[in-house]
Amino acid sequence: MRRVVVTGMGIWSCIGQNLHDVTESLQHGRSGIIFDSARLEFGLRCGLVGDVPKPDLKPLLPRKFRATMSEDAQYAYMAASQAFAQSGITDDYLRQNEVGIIFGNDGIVSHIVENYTIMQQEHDSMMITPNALFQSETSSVTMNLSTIFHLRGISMIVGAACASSSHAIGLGRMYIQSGLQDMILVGGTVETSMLGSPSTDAIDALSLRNNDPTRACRPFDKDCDGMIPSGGAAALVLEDYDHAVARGATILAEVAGYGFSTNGTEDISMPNNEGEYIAMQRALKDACVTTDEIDYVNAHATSTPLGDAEEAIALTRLFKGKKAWISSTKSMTGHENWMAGASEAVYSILMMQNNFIAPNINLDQVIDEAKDLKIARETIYQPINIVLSNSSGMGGTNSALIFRTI
Amino acid sequence: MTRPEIEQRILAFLRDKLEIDESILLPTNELKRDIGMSSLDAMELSIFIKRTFGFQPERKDIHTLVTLADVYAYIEAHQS
Repeated sequence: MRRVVVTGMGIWSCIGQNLHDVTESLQHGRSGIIFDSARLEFGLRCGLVGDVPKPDLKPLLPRKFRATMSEDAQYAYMAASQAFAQSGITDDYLRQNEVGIIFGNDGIVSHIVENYTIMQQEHDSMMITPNALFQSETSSVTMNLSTIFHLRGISMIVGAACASSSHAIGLGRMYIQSGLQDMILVGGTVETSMLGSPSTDAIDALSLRNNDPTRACRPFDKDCDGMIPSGGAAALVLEDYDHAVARGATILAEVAGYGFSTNGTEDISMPNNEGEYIAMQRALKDACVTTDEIDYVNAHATSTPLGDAEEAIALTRLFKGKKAWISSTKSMTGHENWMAGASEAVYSILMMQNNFIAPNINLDQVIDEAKDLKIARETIYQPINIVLSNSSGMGGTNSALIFRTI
Repeated sequence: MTRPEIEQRILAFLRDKLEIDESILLPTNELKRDIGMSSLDAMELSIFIKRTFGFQPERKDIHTLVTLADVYAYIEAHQS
């Protein structure tokens, strides 16, 4: 079986819009969460959101490309450009070689609402912009990026709630392992438009700590009261190891393991420690590593009481008494939804490259279920060789990835 | 609207909304071959015509217009 490595990364998030700034934010435990009063005026109870700037694409892309891009696709373009640049992949390379794309995305709401509003006002579908189709499908990201970057390999979107882009990385690895592809751009992206938040707000999943934005996201803390919507995009260039070596690429990490499971329980919104345990155990087995060898676990922990507790139980079953440090970078970023698996892969590899573990900020009183875990409350400086990044999503989908230095 | 007003509105749309270089927006230039308009751009033009000139062009008509002058003449003939 071929080995799969990461040779490029890109990020556009609320804690930075390039690898350097994001590394700084992670190292210093900087929150990217703000309060936006427009969200309350809109009718949401949670006015908190990740502060993700809209990229200015006009100097970068002609209108024919920009016109069909969703908010998600715009973020993804910025992350993908960074990833290809770091990997040394030029436009000429992309025109001469077959490269694929697999992104995690589980819904684009804002453009659908815009089209619906026009239909209500005009009662005439001829007044809908012809670009709407390419902006409102979940595959808007892969459609647009394939066109811009001349991608001719596998092209698809993975929809698996908040584990979408973790699965996208796992699937990209499988395509390369099997020899079907040599290189695939993988990642995840999500819009930050308030139009995407009502349904999550409606099930009491979002924090109401509106008066304390940077302290509101509190994974594993007894006072956590919900997640905070966030977004942007993360992208990674996955490549066959021999292929990367042959073209002289810098190898950032190996994608050493992928595990998955689905809870299969009857409650669609309830997390389940058994499912998460199975996914993580499967990833460990796939990577041929033991829990003793894991230096760091990037937890899914979103700052919801039920979700954090179930994950803590699963993590305790695997890592109680082990050396692994654990933190949830969502304490700084908020919940990056379908982007989270990919962004947390980027965050984890940045930590590996820079020998530190980012803190789980805002952890004052740890929940009982996590009392036996080594949760990093402050930045810890040490070499990291093997990382497990855990993800899960509504409906019971779970995904775990293992990254290793090489 | 008068013909000059029609031309002015259409030129502004092509220049500002579709970001087409004004130097190629000549009446005799062909929309696809010379000006580089795509089929999606033609549909955007159709929406602009309805909003600006008060009539809904038939899509089949829009796709049969060849030159910029054809667009001006079509609007002049159909505007309400």
